Amino acid sequence: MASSFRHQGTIRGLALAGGLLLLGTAVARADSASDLGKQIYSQGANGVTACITCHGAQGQGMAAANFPYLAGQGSAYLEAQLQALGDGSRSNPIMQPIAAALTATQRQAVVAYIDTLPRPWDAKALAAQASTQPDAKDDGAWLANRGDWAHDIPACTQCHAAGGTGVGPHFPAIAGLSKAYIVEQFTQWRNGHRPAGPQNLMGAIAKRMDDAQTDAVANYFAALPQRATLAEGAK
Amino acid sequence: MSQMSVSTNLAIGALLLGLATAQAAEPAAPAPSFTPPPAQAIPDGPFGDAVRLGQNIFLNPRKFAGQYVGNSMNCASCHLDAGRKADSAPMWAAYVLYPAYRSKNGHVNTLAERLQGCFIYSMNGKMPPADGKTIMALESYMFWMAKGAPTGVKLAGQGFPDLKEPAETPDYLRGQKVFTQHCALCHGADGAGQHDATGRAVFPALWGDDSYNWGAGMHSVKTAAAFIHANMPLSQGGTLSEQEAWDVAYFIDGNERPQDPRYAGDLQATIKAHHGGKYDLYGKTVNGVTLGERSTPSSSQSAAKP
Repeated sequence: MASSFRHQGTIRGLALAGGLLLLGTAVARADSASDLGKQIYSQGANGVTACITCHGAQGQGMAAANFPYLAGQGSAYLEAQLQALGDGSRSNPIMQPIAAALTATQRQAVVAYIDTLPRPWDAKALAAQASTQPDAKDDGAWLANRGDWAHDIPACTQCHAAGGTGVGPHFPAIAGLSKAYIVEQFTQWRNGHRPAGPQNLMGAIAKRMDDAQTDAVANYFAALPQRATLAEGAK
Repeated sequence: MSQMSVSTNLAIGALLLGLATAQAAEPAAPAPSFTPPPAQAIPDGPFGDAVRLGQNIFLNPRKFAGQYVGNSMNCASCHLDAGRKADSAPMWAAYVLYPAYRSKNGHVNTLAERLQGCFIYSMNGKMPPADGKTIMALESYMFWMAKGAPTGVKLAGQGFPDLKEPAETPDYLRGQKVFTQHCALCHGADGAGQHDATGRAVFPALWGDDSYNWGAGMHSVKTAAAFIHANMPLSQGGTLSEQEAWDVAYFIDGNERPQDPRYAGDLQATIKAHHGGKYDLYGKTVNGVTLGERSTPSSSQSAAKP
């Protein structure tokens, strides 16, 4: 922690000098670690593509092309992903060279910036979608809200929070990720192309789920923000 | 408890009472197993509605029985899978054991009184009336879940599986290490849990003002160790060693929590009447704090005050 504050201090100094030269006092009030982060996010760094290209101006992602949203994801989670993508333990040919090109300081800065972006959905409206008694035929809703404890599979929402909004720095939001993206993550956990996550929690659970279950929860969470919006509108 | 006391009981039972040794003879005759009806199979109609309300209360008591709840825990925080999971004190196994004599209060308790205790102690809340909707719904949920189970019998999976006495006396610092490594990710380094956008606990508080109080069953290191060993970390039950479970339970229950609602201003009197034993840390000094001495009043106590 102390060392990261020192780094931020140095960055702050440099950014401040640059800001004063180029933009006058406007930048002085802004958080300068975020300034560096914003710059990396929107312009890239060290010759690699900027995050904004695929993840959108507000970090909202591009679900149709399976690029996940980043806004609202835990900072510890995002940093761990950049690390894993860079060193190849999470396999992704697009992200690998980008993550690998960023220094640890740059990763921290960009993650800090992403942390300032608004969530792409309404957390309370999503949480209201949680159901203690989902439709018996909706396997995805059932797994998401109740789990399959006969196979030691907890409800997704027991860690990712009601409505799949995520909680804290380590448990990411899953609502509104595209179906293909979610399914791909399960495939990667099962075949070892993505680290199992803190305390091996997600990797172990993924291996207990079959393809039909994976498909069902992916469908459920991909459609959840839309369901929440419709429910809000109906009120 | 120890193998010794079981076999002693068995011998005395056999000598003195002949066949009346059902409880002591339990290790020889395995407890019958039972499977509750599928969770999706709650019937339609007025009885089904009561069952569903009970299930709703069980999974989200703040929303469905908020006036009786004083923390952000859920019944399902400790009774996993909505009270269905074996070895996680399942409701189908509890249902068939009441009415029962309880040493906790020295008389025969109906199921309603037992459930009231959950609200006062574990939920650090207030007592719902025995003949009111909340207790009626919870009893309906339990009754439905126990359909076809034999009554008066300890079923396989009831309660939390007893652990052997620990090889080493449970230790606060060892427990803290286990906590940091295996528990803090979800429950937080300060034990305060983590909450969603609506304030509902995703991961419940394990100590502090938002947790179970000093009268709850889980304040016993033995009970907490048994629960933890069988069920924690979530989806990884059985992965901690028994010693780790004892140590981390000691650490968790060695922290302050809301006062025992039976406390009336005299710690020693409360200890004498309701506490004691080596695995009850209430009133003991742990990590420099005499537990119970300066606890926040329980919510039933603060409600009683003008």
